[in-house]
Amino acid sequence: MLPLRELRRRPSRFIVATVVLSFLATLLLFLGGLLDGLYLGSTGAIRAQPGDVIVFSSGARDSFLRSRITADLRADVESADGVDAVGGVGFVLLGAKVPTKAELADVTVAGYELPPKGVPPPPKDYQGTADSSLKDQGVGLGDTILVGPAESPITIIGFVDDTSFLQQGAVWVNLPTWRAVQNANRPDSAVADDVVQTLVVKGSVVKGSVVKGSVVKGSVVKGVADGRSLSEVIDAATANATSTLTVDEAVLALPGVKQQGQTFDQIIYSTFVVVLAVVGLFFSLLTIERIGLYGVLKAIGASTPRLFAGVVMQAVIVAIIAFLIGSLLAIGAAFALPAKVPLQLIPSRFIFTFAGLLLAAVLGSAVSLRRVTRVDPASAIGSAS
Amino acid sequence: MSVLDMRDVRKVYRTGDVDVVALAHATLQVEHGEIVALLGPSGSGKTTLLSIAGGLLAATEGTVVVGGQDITGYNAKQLTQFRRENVGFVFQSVNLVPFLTAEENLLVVDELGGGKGGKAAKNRASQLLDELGLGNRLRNLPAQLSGGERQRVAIGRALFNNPKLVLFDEPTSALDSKIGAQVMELIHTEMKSRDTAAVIVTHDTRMTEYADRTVRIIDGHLKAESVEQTA
Amino acid sequence: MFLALTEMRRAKVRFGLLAGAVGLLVFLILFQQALLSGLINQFIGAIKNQSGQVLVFNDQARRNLDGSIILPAQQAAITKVDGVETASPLGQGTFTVTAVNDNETETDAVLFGYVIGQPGAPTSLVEGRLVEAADEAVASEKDRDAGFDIGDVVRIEPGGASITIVGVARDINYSVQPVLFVEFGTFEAAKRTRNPDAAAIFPSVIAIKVAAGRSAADVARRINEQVDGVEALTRQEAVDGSPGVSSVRTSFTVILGLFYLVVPLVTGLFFLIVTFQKASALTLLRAIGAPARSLVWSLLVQVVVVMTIGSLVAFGLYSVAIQGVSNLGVHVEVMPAVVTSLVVLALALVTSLVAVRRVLRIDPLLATTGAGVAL
Repeated sequence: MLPLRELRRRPSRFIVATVVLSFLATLLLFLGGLLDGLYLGSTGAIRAQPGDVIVFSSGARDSFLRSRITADLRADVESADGVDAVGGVGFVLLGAKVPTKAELADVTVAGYELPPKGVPPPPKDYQGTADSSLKDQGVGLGDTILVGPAESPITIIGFVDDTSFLQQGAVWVNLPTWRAVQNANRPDSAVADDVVQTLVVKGSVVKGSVVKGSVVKGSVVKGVADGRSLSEVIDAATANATSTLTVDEAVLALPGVKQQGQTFDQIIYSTFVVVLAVVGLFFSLLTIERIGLYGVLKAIGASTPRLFAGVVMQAVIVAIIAFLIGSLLAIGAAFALPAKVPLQLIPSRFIFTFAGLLLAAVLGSAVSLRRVTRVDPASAIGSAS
Repeated sequence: MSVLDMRDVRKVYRTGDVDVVALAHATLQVEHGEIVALLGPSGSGKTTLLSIAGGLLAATEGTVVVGGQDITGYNAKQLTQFRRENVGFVFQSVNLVPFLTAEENLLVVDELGGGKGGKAAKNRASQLLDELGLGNRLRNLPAQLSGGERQRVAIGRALFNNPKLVLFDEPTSALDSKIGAQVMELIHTEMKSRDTAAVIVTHDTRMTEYADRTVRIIDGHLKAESVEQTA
Repeated sequence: MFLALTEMRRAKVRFGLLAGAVGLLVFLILFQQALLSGLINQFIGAIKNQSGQVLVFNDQARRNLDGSIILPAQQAAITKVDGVETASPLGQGTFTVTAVNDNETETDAVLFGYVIGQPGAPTSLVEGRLVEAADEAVASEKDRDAGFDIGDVVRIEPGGASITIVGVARDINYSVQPVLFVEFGTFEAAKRTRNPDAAAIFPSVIAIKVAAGRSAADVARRINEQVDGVEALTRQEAVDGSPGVSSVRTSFTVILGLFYLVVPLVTGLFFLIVTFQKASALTLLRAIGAPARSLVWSLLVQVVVVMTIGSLVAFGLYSVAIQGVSNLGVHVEVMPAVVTSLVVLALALVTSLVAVRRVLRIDPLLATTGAGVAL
């Protein structure tokens, strides 16, 4: 009753702390939203790939754009144990003229065989499924966009969510179309007819180990696991002419993804530490101002754990209120910001931030524990107001 | 059996390499329903004696038995529980929780004892406050009450748990003499009607007429007692 | 002055805690600014810290170095534009290299080729010297320990030239890769190593030194008007327009804006609350003849002291924190830190004026009536 009544009847004592924490909560959600947006916008096209691993050529240093897989190399990959399905993939980053806008749209023309999540099977030549982020840049259903300096035409037959590559929305086309667009617009990186950049491979994998000699069409695999990962098996089959990464590893190898993650994580964790310190500071101050009251309460029989629990409870409630205010502000900001800003607020970010705020609130209030413990009940006697 | 039985209690403080004797060989017994006035100037040790009697302070030597319980060797946790269940306090002026209403200031005692502030507790609180003439002030915050009213709420809180012993530290020193007299009347009535033992620390000799007995204390020593005629 | 300091000394804890809170928030501003700078520098530091004041891209390239090439006819036309003192080729490309001195580790590196003595040279040299001949390079300081230190050799793959590093410069990374600034011929040779059949190697952009007394923006505009197929940008525009950088920067501007809003707000609120709490003391002082001016002055002094201590705390934390993230290529930048603190101080003083107004409104008469000050 005590901690709650004080919050209700003396809200002004908690205003400064609540304002600061609300701001920090908004900041955390904002930063997290930026990180998530940058990550999702850079990696969508890869995360959507329908396979377990991505195969690069070994000299390409895990770059999607520099890798080259020839037909022979592909045959080697297909012959490896545990490989069930193989699809070629190619990306080219270009600007595209859009019918309704003067400014060029940034697109990634993506050639595929195995459809990524949400994408239909490869369409006819010069038709494509566009990432929904391109709608903001003026791309509409049925539009024909002119891609690159050579103005290769692609007609949009549908949309798909969350398939951007390096912040540019993908337009998913069949492999011959991709090749034609690449060769016309980037002649210095031209590819021959049976060459792709990377392969996406679906494999029979049980808990990271390849299963020998099994064929799968979406059913549960049985067989003997031979202890090697799919990546190892494929690279061995090509005599190390390939470098195979899991989809997650390939995502991290994308330029900038790791560094952005590290930088933002530093910022976010340092902000949590500041939250902890702010809670610690403000609640220390409150505790000091309440020392007389604590003396009286201890005298009439309040135990230290009970008084301390009251402090923790108030810190937690303030943190919850701050989180709610921060969430509203962050969501509002997300609406107000121009589409160019890669901010995406996803549920896991809210949960993470909420948990972090609660933890920081509890730990921050622990700073006052010693002071509460040291209050001497005998101080209540003989004290003038 | 006395409600309060202090024998040969000594309290010594070490400051640097000098020992300060706050209380020397204090022996005091208080019976059920007895009101004892503890009279002495500032620095005489009366506050120390009150604190030890109420389990707020541990004695350096001697024994303290309250309501049959020997609290001499109790640790802080045990003393906290002891105070909660057996003793009531009315302090000089900082008594009440400023952001709780009069009623809530009494209910907090129930909560400290693990109660949930249910109907029974609420009834008891309003009954007590009624008795103390504050029936229509239940929902007032301390800032909205006069000095005398605040002390009456404090008395109500002290009595909430039916303590065996109530300790008063200069209960009327912040009040003008008329109100002070009213409060002392009230104390007298309440203690007697409940047969509760009380020790009242004061430096004002006029208050002694409300007590059964006056004990004087100077420089940590209790002087000979005098028995007052009760009115 | 005396009153202000005495009060603070008596209430050390309370003012100390506020200074601490302010210090933490200012630290966050400084730290985040530094981290952001570091991240952006990793992407486009090379563009920011080279000497070309205007960079001319192919207009199909969308401000991206990777997609830009300038043809000889265009270069000739650019040179003729009024206001262009020197127009020089600058080539950029990502290559696979072997860092010979780092256990022959194979890695990616970005080469920037420029004509010695012409615009396009690195401007943030911290040790060593600029290149003076073929097969020499100035490397990015951040990658010193990865085989890119002065005296180290880096070999272009497959089977290309061995380049010796003669200097290191700060913040010249590009695309989060190590960078080597080389002589243009070295760059051409490297490109040929990768594409032996390439007919001619064209520069990615043209780097321009503008004539004395002319502004870069003006010259860029002229080039855009007079030369077809190109987009001329000032150095800053090239940095800001780089893919990926602008959106991150906009967002961070919003975040920093939030900070500049909240820190002074919190300080102002605190001082307002403190003013309320000592209202009776203030009334008393007014009653005994203290001029309002001196009470206001007193308050402002306290704000300055609190903000100064807070800033010192912030600087301390900032220096320590930056050491901890030196792997991200971040370093302490004193000037921005000082500027930030002054801005925050100024804003705090402004918000404290609200408390000041409250002080000025106190009626000294209330002290004598004993009614105190109603809040």
